Amino acid sequence: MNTKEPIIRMENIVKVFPNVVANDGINFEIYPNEVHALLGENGAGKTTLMNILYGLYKPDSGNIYIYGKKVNIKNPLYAQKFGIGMVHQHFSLIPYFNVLENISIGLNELKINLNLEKVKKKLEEIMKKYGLLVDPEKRIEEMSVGEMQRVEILKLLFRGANVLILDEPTSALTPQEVDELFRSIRDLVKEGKSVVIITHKLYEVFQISDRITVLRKGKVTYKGLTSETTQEALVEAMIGKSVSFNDFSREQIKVEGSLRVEGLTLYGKGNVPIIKDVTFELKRGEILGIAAVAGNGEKELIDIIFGLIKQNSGKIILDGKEIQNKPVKNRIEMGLSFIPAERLTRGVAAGLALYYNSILHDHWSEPYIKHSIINEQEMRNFARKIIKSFEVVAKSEEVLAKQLSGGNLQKFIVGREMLRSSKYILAVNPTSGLDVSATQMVRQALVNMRNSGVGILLSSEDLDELVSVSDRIIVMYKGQIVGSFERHEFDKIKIGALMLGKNA
Amino acid sequence: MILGLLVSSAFFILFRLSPFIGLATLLYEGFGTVYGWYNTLRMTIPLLIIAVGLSVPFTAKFWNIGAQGQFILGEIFATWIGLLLSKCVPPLADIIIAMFFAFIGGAIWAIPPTVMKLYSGANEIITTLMMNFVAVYLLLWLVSGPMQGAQARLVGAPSSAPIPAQDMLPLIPGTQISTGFLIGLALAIIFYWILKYTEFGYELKLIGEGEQVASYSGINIKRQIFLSMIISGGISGIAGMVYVYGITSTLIPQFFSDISTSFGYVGIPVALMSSLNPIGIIFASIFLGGILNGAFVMEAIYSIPIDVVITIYGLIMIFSIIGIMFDLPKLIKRWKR
Ligand SMILES: Nc1ncnc2c1ncn2[C@@H]1O[C@H](COP(=O)(O)OP(=O)(O)O)[C@@H](O)[C@H]1O
Ligand SMILES: [Mg+2]
Repeated sequence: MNTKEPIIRMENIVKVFPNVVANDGINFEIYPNEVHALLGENGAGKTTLMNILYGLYKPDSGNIYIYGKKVNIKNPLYAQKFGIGMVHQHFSLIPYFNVLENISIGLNELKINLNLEKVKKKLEEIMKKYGLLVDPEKRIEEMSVGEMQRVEILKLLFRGANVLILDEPTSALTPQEVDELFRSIRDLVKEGKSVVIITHKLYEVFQISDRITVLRKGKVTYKGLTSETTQEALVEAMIGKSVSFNDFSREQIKVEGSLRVEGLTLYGKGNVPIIKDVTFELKRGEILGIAAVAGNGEKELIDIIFGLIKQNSGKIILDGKEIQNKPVKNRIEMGLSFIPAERLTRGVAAGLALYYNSILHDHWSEPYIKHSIINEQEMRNFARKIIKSFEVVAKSEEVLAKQLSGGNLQKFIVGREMLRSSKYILAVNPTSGLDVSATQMVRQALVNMRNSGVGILLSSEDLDELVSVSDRIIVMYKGQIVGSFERHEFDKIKIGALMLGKNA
Repeated sequence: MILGLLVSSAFFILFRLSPFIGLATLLYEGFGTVYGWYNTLRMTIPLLIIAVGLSVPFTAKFWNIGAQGQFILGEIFATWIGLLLSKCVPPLADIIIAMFFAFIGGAIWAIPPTVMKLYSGANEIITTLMMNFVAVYLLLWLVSGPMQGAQARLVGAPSSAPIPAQDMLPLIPGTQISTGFLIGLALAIIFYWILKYTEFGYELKLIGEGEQVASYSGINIKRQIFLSMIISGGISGIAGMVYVYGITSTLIPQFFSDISTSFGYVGIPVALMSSLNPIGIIFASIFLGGILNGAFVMEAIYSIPIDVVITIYGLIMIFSIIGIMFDLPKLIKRWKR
């Protein structure tokens, strides 16, 4: 199939993190004059693979060849010398410096000696050549995301990059900015560069790429030219075909009450809708899964239901009472619990002891507080109970929350929210960062809660998880519900396609 | 703090005084004699009360730098109501009413910056500081105008009429220590308990840990911050009342007008170096009160400029702020890397 020789070849790359094999024997090639899309769901290992190529991580095993010669990329400086440049999801620009200053930083280490005048001249040449225009004197803090991205790309070109890696470059751009970016990418390729674009958006792949590699759970599941593939094949490669129902025993019980959301709408900056007219009902004794690619309004939806964000319009009805204007505390008292995605900043007070953190949602109620006075012993007892039942590895309940590892902290938060009495639990990625056995334990606990009559609204990036525990799944895309499935209709490929904005 | 003391030794050397003798004198004059102790406690009382008040919003990491202004407003309100009522009510009632009004005065002064922060995000450090400047000039204007005492007006001194002697806070029997000290101790113990064992204290700690976790925990952040500032301002006001009713007996412009020796400002490092623990504040305020007192004596004996002592304050302040803002061990770890 390949007539050209690759510039860069990554061979059998393995990278293991404490809880996960992020790259599991990956082969990846970059060819001259091409846009290569690296496609995969969140957590598939895309960023890790490219960080290895850029010298940020050392692979546990595997080799990298440039023009057929084996190289050892010790750090990004080496990568830059080999002509590799990478723009991360989070930019590395200094906000109060202007473009020229940002571009000049670190040139010395690359042994490029230039004064600002010369930098400016060279920069202007580059800008003209690739149609990447910015005002060299403008400060970063005054720029839009699209402009900052251009500066990042210019910075790499200035350093002589020949292969540009862009990690999810469109995630924070407006549609117009995306068009502009894609135009620049085409110009770059025309001028002889190669571009790797990391993404989880299917339609972008067809818009811009020449070649595709799909990763799934650290492995390559598809490889080929864009012109020779179909959307269906890519969806299957991304999320897998086998619908493995990991069956938990479910009991049907009848409990009165439901959490209903009616016509919920939220506008973001510039009146762009983040959530648009969302309506659904969660019954007690049911797990309702929300399937969405991160950034489609699913996070805001849950924050609104808990009362952390105020909706622009719509109703939230809990057991027949409207709560959309009630403060968080009232909603908790009426039976809500919440396992948030942001563990360290939201899920716990990082600098306080675990026993202090055990009663975040009960810190006004007995037995922990009576007549506004704390009963420390009761707090400690509850913290010990969480630690014991959810196998949290912690020396004692006096350990500070921030001293726990990510997985243990997550177990603590999940345990706290499940062991307190509630009628409905909102859960966002409850098993993220947990190892296999802890994941299984948490899923089992979710189903047990359901069986005992608790209603669970589960938002998860892991489609397998949603499919294995949910009774129903709704799919969100660009702030709207675009699909709804009963358990017997679950079809990961259909759901996956809807998540990506495609009508299956 | 130890670093601060080391650096201060260097300053003594600069003034041709052995650092050992220097520090020893400082401490001796502060703590070595009964008389020294009396004077030290005079300095301690306002520091203690102010710092206890500050520990409340500081727990929520709301930085009230305005204790000085709140202190002054407390002085003004207490003196005004005291002079108004002195002939009509018995002394004890007068003291209680004055204390109440002082609380109101200090609290009122704390409200504008708090509201500005909560509703428009204006930095409280700057706004509380500005309120201090306004208070200083308000006081100057009052004691050279509407509130100037008849006696003072004759000699052109900026001062109010004196609080009648029978209305002053009594001394602790057998000593020359004002009962204001007991008020300070009581406040310290009460707030130690409030911060440690009540729902209010718990919520302030969570707010101090970050807005996100606090709102997730169902806390009404604005309300609690507001309350903490009312308390803090009010207690600083009480400090002002205790100062007038225990020491000066008249309303006079602050004797020390620079930042480092005004009680409202020194109260900040007192609160911080005790890690916001009101019991610790008792000891810290005695310690700094002693240094302050020793400094005045030293200035008289060896003509060491009081600025040297101010420098020591500054150093202690800096190191204790660093200590609380960062976890020292973490800082060291990061530095080693
Ligand atoms: N520095 C790290 N330490 C531990 N785990 C990590 C680290 N970086 C990534 N991971 C984990 O490796 C997996 C792959 O992550 P990543 O490469 O960022 O995926 P993607 O970019 O495809 O979304 C994820 O499960 C992630 O949690
Ligand atoms: Mg990534």
